[in-house]
Amino acid sequence: METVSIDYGWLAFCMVLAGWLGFELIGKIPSQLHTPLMSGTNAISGITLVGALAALSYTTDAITEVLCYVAIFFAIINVVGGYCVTDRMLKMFKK
Amino acid sequence: MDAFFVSAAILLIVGLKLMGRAATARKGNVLSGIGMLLAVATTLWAFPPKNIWILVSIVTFGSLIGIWTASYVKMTAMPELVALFNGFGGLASLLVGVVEGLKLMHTSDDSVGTGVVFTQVAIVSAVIIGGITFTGSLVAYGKLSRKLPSGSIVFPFQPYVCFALLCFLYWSSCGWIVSQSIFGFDPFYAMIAFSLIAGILFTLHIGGGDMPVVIALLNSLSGVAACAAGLISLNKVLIVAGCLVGTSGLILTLIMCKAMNRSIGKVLLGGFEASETKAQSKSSGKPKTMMAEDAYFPLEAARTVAIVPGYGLAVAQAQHAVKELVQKLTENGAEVFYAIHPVAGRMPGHMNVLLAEADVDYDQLTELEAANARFQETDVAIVIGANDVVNPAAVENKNSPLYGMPILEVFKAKTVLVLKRGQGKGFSGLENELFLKDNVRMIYGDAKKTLTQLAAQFKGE
Repeated sequence: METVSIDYGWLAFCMVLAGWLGFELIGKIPSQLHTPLMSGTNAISGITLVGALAALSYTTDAITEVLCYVAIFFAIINVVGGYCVTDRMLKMFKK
Repeated sequence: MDAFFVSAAILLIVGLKLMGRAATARKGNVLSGIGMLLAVATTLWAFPPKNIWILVSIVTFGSLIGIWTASYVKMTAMPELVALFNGFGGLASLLVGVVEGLKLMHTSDDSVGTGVVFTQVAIVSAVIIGGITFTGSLVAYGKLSRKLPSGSIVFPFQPYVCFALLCFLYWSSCGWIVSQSIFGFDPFYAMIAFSLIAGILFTLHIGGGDMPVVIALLNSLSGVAACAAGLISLNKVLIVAGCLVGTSGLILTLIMCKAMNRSIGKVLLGGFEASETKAQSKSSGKPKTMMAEDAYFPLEAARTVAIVPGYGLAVAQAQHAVKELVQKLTENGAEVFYAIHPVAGRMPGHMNVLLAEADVDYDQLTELEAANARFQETDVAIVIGANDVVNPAAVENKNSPLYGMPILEVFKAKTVLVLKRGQGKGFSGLENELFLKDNVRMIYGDAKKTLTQLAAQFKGE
């Protein structure tokens, strides 16, 4: 792997900012919405799908390729299922 | 390419923001879904897969499973579904970490710089946190769906075993980063195994009552795992989304802890069961019982009625029966409100979802503080399968482990009807002093049956 220069300061800044956003966005929401919110953020955490897809493109042997496919399979269940079930719950709230 | 990833991240953030309000929540979820789609599409464009057909079939198959489960799951089973999905996300992060780790081991012979160490630390984090999230969520799923005993499972020397495991985990991960070989043995695989075992051990001893906290915490961890996976390849959208989920999950965990008057440390160590025996309630006396038939008179005369649903309502699947009774009461001229404790149900906000499914009007759902302000003028409060969240010991008895926990002060109502399956105790295992008060009547039996009976009496008119 070629050594990439990493801008640690920028990275830390990004992470702190995103983390702070998470606190701000969720801190004041009514407790009625906690379950859909959890299942919604759960679906977002399936974003690791992106990591699996990227890793797939530069696999060199069969083992890592299969592992990538397995990761994609489970991540896609997480993402699609998570968004659908959240939508189903929120649809009930709307009425 | 970066522009697309940044737009995807912005969509996720704005979506999450909109999800904080009931009116815009659905739109927010769709927006966040679009963000996800954009992130995936951009990745496919930037890193074209070698074999598109295998990928398409896997994605189609996985999506169908996801859609199918999401469409047919019962609302009462929502907590275990979220736990299961969460476990899948953790597994995916774990596998991404493993793949990147294997790749690094095959190629890195010469280049040892700070960049590589950074990547290795990210890989270790993704593997460990992903592994713990995966097996931890599976155990939570097992407990919530009652495939495992829902109580705390303890075995001898548990704290020591857990500590030893943490040491092994630390040792194997450090060993892998430093030398990639300990005693001629690659510690990478040991690290994977240890993290999977750790997830099981850390959740096994957490009791059923603490599950809302655990799910929120595991949810947060799955975000952190995704963030770690993002740090491996320095993928911005992964890092941002992972952090977002990580902290939002953490804050939900803290809200849950506050609502249950427990600290995260206590939940994780499972200290509740140990302390309960000391605090036996000293008040004696027997709760006064009542037959369902006799409950008609106070209910018929009541002008204001509070419904206090708890876990028991979810178990008895009685949400539709409640709705029916409330309809009768309203037709009878009573004003009805639902008093909902933040931890009612089996996951944060679960009760609201159950009641929403039964078509209960959103405006009738009252949060803790607003409900407590109304109990004084309430004629009849009907407690359905709730126990610890209405235990007055939390405000009256300084020696109680519940003391300080915010509760619904139903004892202030003129009459309290408690619908209860049997004479058992709540999750905390504590006696409930509410049941001994003068204005409280117990109606034992299946909540759904009792509610239907109560509603039927109104029909007789």
